[in-house]
Amino acid sequence: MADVAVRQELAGGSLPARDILTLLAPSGVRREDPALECDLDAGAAARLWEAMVIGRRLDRAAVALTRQGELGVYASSAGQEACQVGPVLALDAEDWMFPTYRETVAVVTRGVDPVEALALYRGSAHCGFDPRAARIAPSATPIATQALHAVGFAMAAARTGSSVAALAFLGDGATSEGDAHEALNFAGVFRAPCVFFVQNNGWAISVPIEHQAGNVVLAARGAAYGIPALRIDGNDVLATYAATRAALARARSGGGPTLIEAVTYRMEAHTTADDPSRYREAAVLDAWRQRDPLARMERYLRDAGVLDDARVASVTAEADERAARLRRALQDAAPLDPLRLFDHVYSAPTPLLERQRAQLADELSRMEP
Amino acid sequence: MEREFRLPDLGEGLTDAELVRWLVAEGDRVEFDQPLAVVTTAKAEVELPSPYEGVVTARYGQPGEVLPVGATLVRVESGDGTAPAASAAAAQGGGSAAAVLPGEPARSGGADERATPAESGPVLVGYGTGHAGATGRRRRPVRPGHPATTRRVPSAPLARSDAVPETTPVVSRPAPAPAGQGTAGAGRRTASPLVRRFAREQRVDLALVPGTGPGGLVTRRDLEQWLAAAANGAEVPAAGATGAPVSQGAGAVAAPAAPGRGTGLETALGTVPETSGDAQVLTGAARVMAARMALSHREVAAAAAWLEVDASQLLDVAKAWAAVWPEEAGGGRTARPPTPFACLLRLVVVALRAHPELNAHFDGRSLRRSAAVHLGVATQTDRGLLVPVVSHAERLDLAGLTRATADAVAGARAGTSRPDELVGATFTVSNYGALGADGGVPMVDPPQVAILGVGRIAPRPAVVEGQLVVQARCQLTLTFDHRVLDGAAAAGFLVDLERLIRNPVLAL
Repeated sequence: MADVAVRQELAGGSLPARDILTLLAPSGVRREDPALECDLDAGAAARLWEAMVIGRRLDRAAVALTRQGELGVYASSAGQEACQVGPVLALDAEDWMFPTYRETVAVVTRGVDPVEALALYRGSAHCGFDPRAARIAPSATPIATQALHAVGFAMAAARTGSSVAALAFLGDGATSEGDAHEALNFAGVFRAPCVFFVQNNGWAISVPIEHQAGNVVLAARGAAYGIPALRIDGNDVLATYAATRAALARARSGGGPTLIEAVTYRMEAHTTADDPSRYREAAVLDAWRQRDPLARMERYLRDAGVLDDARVASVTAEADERAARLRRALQDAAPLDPLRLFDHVYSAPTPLLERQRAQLADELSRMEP
Repeated sequence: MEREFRLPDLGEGLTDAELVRWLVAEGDRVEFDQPLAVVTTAKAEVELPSPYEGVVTARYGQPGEVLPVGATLVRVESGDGTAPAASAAAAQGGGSAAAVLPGEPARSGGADERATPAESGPVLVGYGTGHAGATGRRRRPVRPGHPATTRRVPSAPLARSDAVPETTPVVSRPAPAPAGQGTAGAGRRTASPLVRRFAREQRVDLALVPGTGPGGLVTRRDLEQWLAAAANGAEVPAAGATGAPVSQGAGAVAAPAAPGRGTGLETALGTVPETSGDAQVLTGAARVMAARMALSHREVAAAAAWLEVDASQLLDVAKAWAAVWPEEAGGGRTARPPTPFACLLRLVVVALRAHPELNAHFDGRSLRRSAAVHLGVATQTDRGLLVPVVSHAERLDLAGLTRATADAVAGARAGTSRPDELVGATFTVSNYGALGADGGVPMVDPPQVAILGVGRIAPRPAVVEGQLVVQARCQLTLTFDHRVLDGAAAAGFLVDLERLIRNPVLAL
């Protein structure tokens, strides 16, 4: 079990998980690792692959829709599909997840309609889906705040005796923020049933990981908080699934939090408003393309005999259709009422807000043709 | 039905984009998300994918043209008749922008009014990477070609608590004000922290820079234009005075725009406009050169050492390669035999191995030597001076280096270099000899710490063992950053390089 290996490392006082745990080599060859058990057979694992294919297609569509003016900005998770899909499909129905702005694919994987998942980026709503129904907190734009929310939620769940666990998504950049420290510290002290899933994609906008962390092994921080930690291959969806699954199980059974560092790479710009060619060489991407999460999974599933050309074609067609539906929905959407701007500022609007709202309404009434 | 695709805000608050090239022609059939055109913004160069499928019936704009957000790019006839009339979000100026400010004319849709996008509001996620060459990241757009534009404003202020007086009338000036008219209220200028830092780095007193933003706000573009003007030798007011850096009229451009390497005389003359009425705002590579040279001049403690060398062996080596080339070319290694310049580059790479302190980056505090030699090759192009980079030159043999250099230079001239192929050099060579100059003192391109200038190879007298002889000689100049390198390092490099040039066999 991951737990055992990590505890041994902790007991030894050494840095945990120097090695990156992998269950599926970039070549598509399945490996066993005593520190990480995966109970999925190839047939069940195909669902992970399908979700990644659909997620990547929708991600690409969102980038294009930004270039077409349908979205204001978008943060792509291209290349990080294994981190978007694995942890989400490891959740139980009752669990909650706390995503950042880069988790659009994760939110969609949990079952939210892409149009609702992208409302934040269209500027049409702060959160386009019902958090309670989806059991997903609104995607956090401030860095690392969601980690505190997740810990608070998890502590509350534990107090009420429920067996619900929280899954907090973080980026490597978030681990440089004070909020991340506070969240990890609280979780460690109070044994909160919370899983911290850190996608170490190498970049905090334009700042590389080695300029953010004195020790670039982010999993090493678990020891300081008394939190079991492991470092996994973030482009291996079996590893992201298995590690999260085991950590959630431990959280639900009273075993406390886990820190998972998934080593991956941001293949696209930070957001569509960023130009990475100004701070990194394109040549780096070639090495990471060899580690593509989808390609290795497809090879594994084909070798296992659960995937053939027909199924690849049908899943690809399904992904294309979902992308087309998303495009049509955004292109056909009615313009928003600007007055909605005031709707959710305060539960009871202040006099100043009321005045501003009236001014805007007045302006609009005189502008309409 | 026919639908139009308008230029969206491509970067959270941008107001325009420059059309780089079209990827489709009128009459072309396009599919969903097929790239239509390449545009460059202050933040990035991007391909615009088609939101519609159908036939392109019209396209608007020429490469090089700056298009305001909301301008119609293409019309596409989809031939289905089922979809709505226009791209709603694009028509509103893009995404979140649309609904925020009712006073903006974005909703009224007149052709001219569409040039004025809605206020974008605060950046949602991150801040992009606006650096040198930024265009158009202003809260208030300036319409080129208008001598002065007074914005219409809402009759009732929207948000009185707003710290920035968004709703007060703003007079925008497309060009800096004429000298003298300039900016009342010298002294402390309003600018964003980013611009203040940029000014500090450039050691510019912001009080000298006329601001074109709301309430005289100094924008990044204002500062860049001021710096570009300063770098071009235009008259810049002394401390205490205020006014425009570029005086109106011919005087503004009379100073040659050639502070650096390799700018041909005709290029400098070419920047003088026919008429004397308009100041010429630099764009593209010219603006980048101006900013980089100004940076070099301010930051680098430039010193130079030079040496005249006997280049006969370079010519002989190139000749020897050319003589055997047909067979070698059959091996498919490279299209052309090594030139004397390529031979020299190869020897420079070898010499740098013995002098790694010259192959380094210095950011003002720390010096970082590079094991790899990424060789910048200063190149004159139609668009101005560009420095394409041959990466990992230390891994290339002579033939490989010849081809890589030729490819890099050809890419820069054709404009097909990717952005990452124009940055990251660890050492640069400027071959102004090819332009006919005997010698020169090139400018270091920070964060690099040295640059080698190569003069013309020409028959010149030399004294060999007491005898006067005629040799093919060439002057080499090494300009170095004296903050981190000293004369001994520079001379040591030149002497070693000269030894290699005299006897290239040593490089084997």
